[in-house]
Formats: sequence, structure tokens, C-alpha cells
Amino acid sequence: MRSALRWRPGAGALAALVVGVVFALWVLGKALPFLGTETQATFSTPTAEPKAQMALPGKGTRMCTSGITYGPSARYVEITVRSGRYDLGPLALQARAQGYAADATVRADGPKDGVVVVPIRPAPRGVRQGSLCVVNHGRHTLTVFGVPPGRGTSAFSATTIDGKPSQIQMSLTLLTKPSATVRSRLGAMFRHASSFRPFTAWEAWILALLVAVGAPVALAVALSRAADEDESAPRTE
Amino acid sequence: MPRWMSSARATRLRVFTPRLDRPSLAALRRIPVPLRLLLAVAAVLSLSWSLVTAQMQGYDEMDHVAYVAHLAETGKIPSASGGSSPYGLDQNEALYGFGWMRLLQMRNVRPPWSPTEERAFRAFEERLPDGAPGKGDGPNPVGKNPPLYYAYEAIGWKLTPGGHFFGRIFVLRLMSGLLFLAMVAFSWLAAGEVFRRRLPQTVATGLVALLPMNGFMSGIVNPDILLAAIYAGFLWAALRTARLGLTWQRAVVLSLITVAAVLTQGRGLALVPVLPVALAVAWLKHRPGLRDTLRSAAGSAATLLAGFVVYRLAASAAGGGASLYGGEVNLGNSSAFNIRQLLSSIWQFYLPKLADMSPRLGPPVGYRQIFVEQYFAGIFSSFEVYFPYWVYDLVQVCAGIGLVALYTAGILRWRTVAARWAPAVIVATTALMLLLFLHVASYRALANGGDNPLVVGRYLLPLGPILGIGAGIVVAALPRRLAAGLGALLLVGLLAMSISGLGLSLERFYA
Repeated sequence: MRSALRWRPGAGALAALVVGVVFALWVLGKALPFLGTETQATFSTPTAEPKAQMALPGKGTRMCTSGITYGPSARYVEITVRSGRYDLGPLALQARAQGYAADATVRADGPKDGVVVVPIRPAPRGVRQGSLCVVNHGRHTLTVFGVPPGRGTSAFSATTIDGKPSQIQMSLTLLTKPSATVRSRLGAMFRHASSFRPFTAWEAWILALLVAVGAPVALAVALSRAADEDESAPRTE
Repeated sequence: MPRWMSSARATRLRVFTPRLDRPSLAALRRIPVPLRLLLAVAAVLSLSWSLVTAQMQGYDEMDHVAYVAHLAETGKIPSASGGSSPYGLDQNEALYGFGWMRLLQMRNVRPPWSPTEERAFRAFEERLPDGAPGKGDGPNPVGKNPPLYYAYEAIGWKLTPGGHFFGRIFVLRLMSGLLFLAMVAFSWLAAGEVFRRRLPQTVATGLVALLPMNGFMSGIVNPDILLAAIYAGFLWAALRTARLGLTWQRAVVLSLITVAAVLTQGRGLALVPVLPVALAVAWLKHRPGLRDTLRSAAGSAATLLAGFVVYRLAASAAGGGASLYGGEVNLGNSSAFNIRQLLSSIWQFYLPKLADMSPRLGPPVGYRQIFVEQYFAGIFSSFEVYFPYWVYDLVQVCAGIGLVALYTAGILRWRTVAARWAPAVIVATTALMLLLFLHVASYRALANGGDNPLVVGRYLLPLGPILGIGAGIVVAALPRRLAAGLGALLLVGLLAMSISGLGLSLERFYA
């Protein structure tokens, strides 16, 4: 018992121990909490971040954006609006594509300044070149945020207000879920990361395992072997 | 069984059954275990970085890809200032049609990833006429870069099975990853020239393999990783030459590496003044005879001359004259240069301004932003993926402690340093020349009216092996158990930062 308490690890064992303990502490203190953080589950971002404003007058004025890809995981639409001191809406959202139509309504609500997330019925399969219209049935003009001409716009998208082309593109995000933990999204994230690449999601999982488990083990073994080699070698320095 | 079948089976067995006495495997077994493991970790990290960073989202990556495409398809360097289109038709469609351009530096934008969009892009590619991928003749801002890295990457471009655009980017990034492995291997060899013990050598190499910025830069298309690998190779060759003595073959190798640096990046010119220092150190240490000295000088001069000819050819291919290289080098015609102002600028980069100094030119960037944030810890993608600020604070404190420890180790073991003056001079000169080059280039750019300080963290990548040797010196100065613990703490900290950076990048692009 006393000899066990007096155990002094060699330099190699100590190096491996430090790697193991510090890595475990990092996993518990930082990596696991990060995996538990909430994030948006994005389906696609047809246009970029909102940086410009467009007026959408009330009483049935319609703002439409084309060039949108829908799919079974596109379950929410996120737009950014400001209603000023007036109530928001009601608004109607109309998602359309070949063989797909979905309608949703945002009921009249208090003043709103920020993102509005509206659930829509998902398309049964992936379909490109769709459109999304926002119809303002309220009495007051609504400000819709969009993307000014330049790098943030999409070549596939065009925004119109009551059929007239707008220089500013409506800023739009399609979501699978408004909020989900990073942990619950890992599979989808690996699938996304392997798209447009000669790589599969399974291979991404294997790689992640190599990073999370293989790399610290390899580091511990490398340091341990190096330190042990020095201990067994004659002291020269 | 027919005879041909048994023969084929035997051939297959010969191919797939490893024979441990085969020379290649024997050579593999001769690689020390720590290096093998560090190379494996570096390869895994590099591949991971290439996956979590969306295509063309590294620093200037879309322009580097366009350079490779044009060079591979036409054999020509794209123009930095003229031309009809900066990108080939496939890249143009990916950037503007499919949205990779609006992804740049916009944190809430995601790349397309649905199979529908992937099929649509593939269909677009199949409709393209022959030669469409190489149409990007300029203007391309990186067209002023020398062609060595792009020529290397062009091999990957041409050899990509299927020849699809995104498949090619995947392969180009893998090719950068191979350069990272070379950098790690050369760092190991360089550290082996400095340390007799395995642990400091492992810590020095581990720092190179695990520094997050090294892994990130190896996962994108960018010539800085080749320059870093060349620096590591030069350092090893110079230290080895200093140990073994100057021969004409070694002088040629060192000169060849210097030429490679010059043909890779404008910043490679910082290696040119290190070459005579390395040769002089080797000469002073071993004092070879007149004939050997002349042969070494002639070998070096001939190599440099050949390199200059290649440079001129590349310059003329890039549009002639001095158009090769960018702002770091081409500010010679402007007259504003004041040595006092330069020294004040360097002082204020690292330390607080003294009372009698005029304010430093340009934006407020210094040691904290360039060294700590953009290099030691790292800022990824195109400057939009970064750690929480406490990480940079912690790294700054650790770097400060490391510097003090290095200084203390140098003072306490000054006899050893004095006895091993040759490697000390080579390592210090290599680091100082690069830093001086960057400071002078930055000062000249700002003094001549520019607002771009021309210095960012990734320019410090060549310092990797030198930082590693610094860490190794501290570890070597400690008692063995403490050294093992401290070395492990340093490397596992870097590994944790690398994995954190990977996680943040994955979440930024693919959540």
C-alpha cells in the first residue's frame, strides 16, 4: 500500500498521463458544452445576410424571390423585418416550385424588429428554381431586410415587389429546425461537409473519430516513447 | 485451376502481401515512432481542415485556385492586371451561380450542400465546352506570385480522376497537405541537428504538427504552406551543413532550396541573405581548403544563376519585367524611407509607444494581432472563424512565459550556447531575416501612402520549426520528468486548440 502511494511515474508515463488528464479535462470543460450549444439547423441560405432595407406597403403588396431550392428538410422560412411602431402583419408566405406548393400565415402581432421564423410544409423531394412570396395583408408598410447589389447577392435569385424588379434581394434562410444542439446535428454536418467532395459522411465520421481519439492517443504514445528513449539513453546533455 | 489464374493469384498475393524485408517497408520502420505518430496526426488534422473549411473560403483561395487552373490548362500564368475573366467557367459558376462567393466572410451564409444542387452543378459542368476550366486569364491579384507552388498543384489538377471542379479542389488541398507533412518531417530533422535527446526533438516537431494555423493552411490552396516547408527544409540543410562541413554538393542543395523559396513567394526573398550566412558559418566551423571552398562557391553561384534565369522566364511569362511579386517587393520606386521611422515602427509593433515617438503608420496592428491572434492561436477561413477572446489572452500569456523561459535557459546554459554557436547563428539569422523583411515591407507600403500593412499571421508560417526549436530548448533545459510534463502540456494544449478550431469551422460552414 505504502509502495503504491510512493509510486513515481517515469518521464514517459508522466507525459502520457498529462496528455490524458488535460485532454479529458478539455473534453469535459469545453468540448462537451460546445456540443450542447444550440444552433440553427440551416437547410440553405439562398441569399446572404440582411444589410439593406426594402419597403413592403400593406394591403396585399407582394414581394417575391426566385431561384430557391426546396427539399424534405426545408421546414421553416426565416426573414428579417421591422414593423416600426405598428403591429406586424398579418403576412402570407407562399412557397412554390415545380410540383410543390406550401402556404403559411403570420398572424397579426405586436411591433416586430428582427427575424421572423415561419413553419412551412416541406417539399417531398429536392426541387430547384422555386420561389417564395411574402404578402403583407396588414394596414401599414413593413420594412423587409435584404442584400444590396454586390458580392452577397445570388445570380439565381431575383426579387420583385408587385412584379417590379428590386435592386435589393430579399434576405432569406430556410431552416430544418430553428434551434438544435450541435451534438444532434453532427450527422447532418458531416453529410453537408462531404457534399461536393469525393468523400462520404461515413468517412467523415471515421476521420472525426481519428481526430478526437486517435490524435490524443498518438500524441501520448509519441511523447511517452520519446521520453522513455531519453531515460534509457546515457545522459549527454 | 488454370495456370494463368494461379499466376494472377500469385501476382496479387505479391502485390497485397506486405513483405517486411522490402526496402520501402524497411525504410518506413527506420522512421522513429514519435515522428511516425506525429506525421499521422498531422495528416489527420490536415485532411480534417480541408473538409471543415468550405471550398475556396481560405485566404485568397479562389484566386489561387484560378491561378492553378489557368496554369494547368494553358501552361501560362494569369495576368495580375489584365485579362478577360478572372475565373474559368466552372469556377465562375460555382462562385456566382451556386453561391460560394457570397459565402466569403459572411458568417450566416452556408454553401450549397443538397444532392439536388450537386447534381445541378455536375450537369452544368457536363455542358461546358473543352478548355472552359482554364479560361481565367485574369485579372487575378495573385497572378504576381511566382509559379512554383502553382506548378506543383497543377499536377494534382491534371491528375484528378474525372476532372470535375470540386474534385480538383479536393485534390489540390490534399497536395497542400503533403507539403505540410514535408514541413513536419524537415522540422524533425532540423530539431535532430540541434538536440541530442528525443523528447525536445519530439516537442519541437509536435509544435509544428499541432499549431492550428499550420494545419489550417495545409487544408486550403495557398502557397504559404510550400514556403513554410521550404524554410523547414532549408533550416535542416543549413544545420546539417554546419555540422558536417561545407561541400559543393551541400552548397548546391542550400542554394537550390533558396531558389525554390524565391520561386514560391515574394517573401521567399527573405531567405536569400540567410544563404551566405549559412555557408559562411559552415566554412568558419570547418575551414575547408581553398579548392573545396572555390568549388562550393562555384556550385552555389551556378545554382543561383540558373535560378535567376528561371525567375526571368517566369517573370516574362507573367507579363514581363518586374511584375512578378507583389507589394512586398515592388515598392522600390517610391522614395519615402526613414530608418528612424522604421525602427520606431518596429518598436511600436511589439512594445508601447515611447513619449518621443510619433505614432506608428497604418492600422493599429502589432504583436498581439499578428503573432498571437493570427498565428500562435489562429484565425481561420477568411478571418471570420475565431476563438473566444480569452483563448488569445491565454495564448499571449503562455507565449510571454515561453519567451522568458527561453531567455532564462539561454542565460543559464550560455556555455552550451557558445559551444554550439553555429546552429544558434543559423536559427537566429533565419528568424530575424524573415521578421526584418516583413517589417521593412510593411513599413515601405505604409510610408508610401498605402493603407494595407502587408503583414498577417500566416506570413509567419516559416517560423514554425524555429518556434519548435525554441520550445525544445526550454524543454531540454528542464529536469527530465518536468520536461516531459511541460512538453506534454504544450502539445496537448495545441491539439485541443486545433480540434476547437475544427469544431468552430465545421459549425460555421455546415450547421
